[in-house]
Amino acid sequence: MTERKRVLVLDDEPIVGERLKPVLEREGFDVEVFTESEGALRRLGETTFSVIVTDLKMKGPSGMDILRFVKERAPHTAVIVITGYATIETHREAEAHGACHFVAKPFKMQDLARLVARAAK
Amino acid sequence: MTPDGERTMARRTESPPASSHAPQGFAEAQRALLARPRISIRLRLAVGLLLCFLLCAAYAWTSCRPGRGPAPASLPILLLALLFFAFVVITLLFDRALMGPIRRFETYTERISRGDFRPIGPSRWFRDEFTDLAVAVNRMLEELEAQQRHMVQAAKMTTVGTLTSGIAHELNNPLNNIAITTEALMEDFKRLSDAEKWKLLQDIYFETERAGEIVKSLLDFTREQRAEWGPVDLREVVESTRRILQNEMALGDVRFEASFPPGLPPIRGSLNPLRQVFLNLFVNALHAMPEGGRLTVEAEAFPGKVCVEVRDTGSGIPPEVLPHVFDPFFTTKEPGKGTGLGLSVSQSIVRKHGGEIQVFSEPGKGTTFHLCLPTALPPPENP
Repeated sequence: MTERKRVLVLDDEPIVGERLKPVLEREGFDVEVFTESEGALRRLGETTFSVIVTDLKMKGPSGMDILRFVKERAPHTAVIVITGYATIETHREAEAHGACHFVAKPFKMQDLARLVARAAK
Repeated sequence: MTPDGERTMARRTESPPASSHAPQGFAEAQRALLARPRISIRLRLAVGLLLCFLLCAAYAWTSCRPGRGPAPASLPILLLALLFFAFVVITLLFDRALMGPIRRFETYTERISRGDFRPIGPSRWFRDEFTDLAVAVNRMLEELEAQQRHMVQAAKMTTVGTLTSGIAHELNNPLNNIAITTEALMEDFKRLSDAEKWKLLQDIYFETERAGEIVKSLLDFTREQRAEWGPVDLREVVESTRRILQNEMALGDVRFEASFPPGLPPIRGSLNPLRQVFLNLFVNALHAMPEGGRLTVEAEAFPGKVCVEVRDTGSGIPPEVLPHVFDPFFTTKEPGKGTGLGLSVSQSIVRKHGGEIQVFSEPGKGTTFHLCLPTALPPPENP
C-alpha cells in the first residue's frame, strides 16, 4: 500500500480549512489545516508536504512568505495560492515565486480538489 | 450639470463685471484697500456737526450785532439752539444706526472665515438696508455651504475610493465561505446528519451577515447625508471608523488602541463629517506605517471641550512639509493615492464644529494630530 500524500491547508478563514479537509481526505490525502501562518511555518520546517494550499493575505507572514519558504526548502512541493485579493500583480508575483496555481476566491471546492490531485501527481 | 451649478453660473453672469483696474489676488486686493487713507464715517459726521455748529454760531454772532452786515432774519436764538440740538441728536442716531450693524457684520465675517456657515438671524424688530445685506450674505453662505458640501463629498469619495478595492476583496472571503459551504451541503446532502447540516446552514447564515456588514460599513460612509447636528459620542465615531479600516489594519500589522475616559461628554456635531475626519487621519496613519506599527487614539475631557489625540508610529512628516499639510491639494502621496484634500477638508469640518486641529510630527518617530471639539453642553450660542 502506497503512503498517503500529505496536503497542508492554510487560510485564516477557519471555514475554508473545515470544508476542504473532508473533500481532500475523500480524494485520498492526509490533510493538515492551519489558520495561522506562524503555526504553518513551524510545521513546514519539520516536515515536507506534497501540496500546499495557502491564502495570500494573512496576519503575520503572508502566503507569499510561505511560498518562498517552501520553494527554498522543498522545491518539489506544489503550492496552490487561493486568495480573495486576486490582482494581476499578485498573480504574477505568485507565479514568479513558483506557485503552480493561482485560484481566486470564491472558488468551487471540486475545482480546487482537482487542482490538488493534479499537482500531487 | 447639476441644478446648483446652473444657478451658480446664472448668478455669476448677472454680477457686474469687475472694474478694469481691480487688483488680482487676495493679498494684493487687501493691500490696495488698506493703502487708502482712513476717513471714518464717524469722523465725517463729526466734521459735519462742527460745520453746522460754526454756521449756527456765525448766524447767532451776526444776528446779535445788528447794524453790522446784512439785516438779520428774525430767527430767535432759542430756535437756532433747538435746531442745532436736533441736528446733534440726528447725527448721534445716524451714528448708532450705522456703526452697530457694521460692527456686527464684522463679527459675522470673522465667523464665516473660520468656516462657520450658520446663517445670520434677525437681531432687531424691524428691517432696513442692513437686513437686505444680511439676506444677501445668507444667500452667499448657502452657496458656499453647497460648494463646500460638494468638495467634502468629493474628497470623501476619493478617500473611500482608495479603500473600495480592499473592501471588494474583503467581500470575497465571506462569499467564498458561503460558496464552499453550500457546495459541501449539496454534495453531501444525503450523507450529513441533521446536526451537521444545521452547522453548515449556520455558517452560511453568519457569513451572509458578515458580507452584509462589509457592504453596510462602506455605504454608511459614501452616503451623502444632510448633516444633522446634535450630541455626538466620539467613541462611536472612532469605533465605526475603525471598523471600516479593520481589515487594512490587520493586514498592515497595525495595532489599534483607543482610550476614552468614562463619562466623556458628547460633543456638538454631525456624525458623518466627524467620521470623515477620523477616516482621513487613520488612512494617513496607515499610509505612514507601511511596515506596521501602532495607532493610538486618546480622548480627554476639558471644561467645555473634548480633545482627542491620534498618534501613529510611522515615518513622520519632514519639518519643511509640516506647515503645508492642511493646504488644499497638498499631497506627498504618489498620483492616484491621494488628492491632497483629506486634511484640508478635515480641518474645515473641525472648524465648522467650532474646534481646532493641530499637527505635531517627528520624522522617523511618528505624527500626532491633536483636535479639540466643543461639547454639546452648553447649547450653541445664537448669532
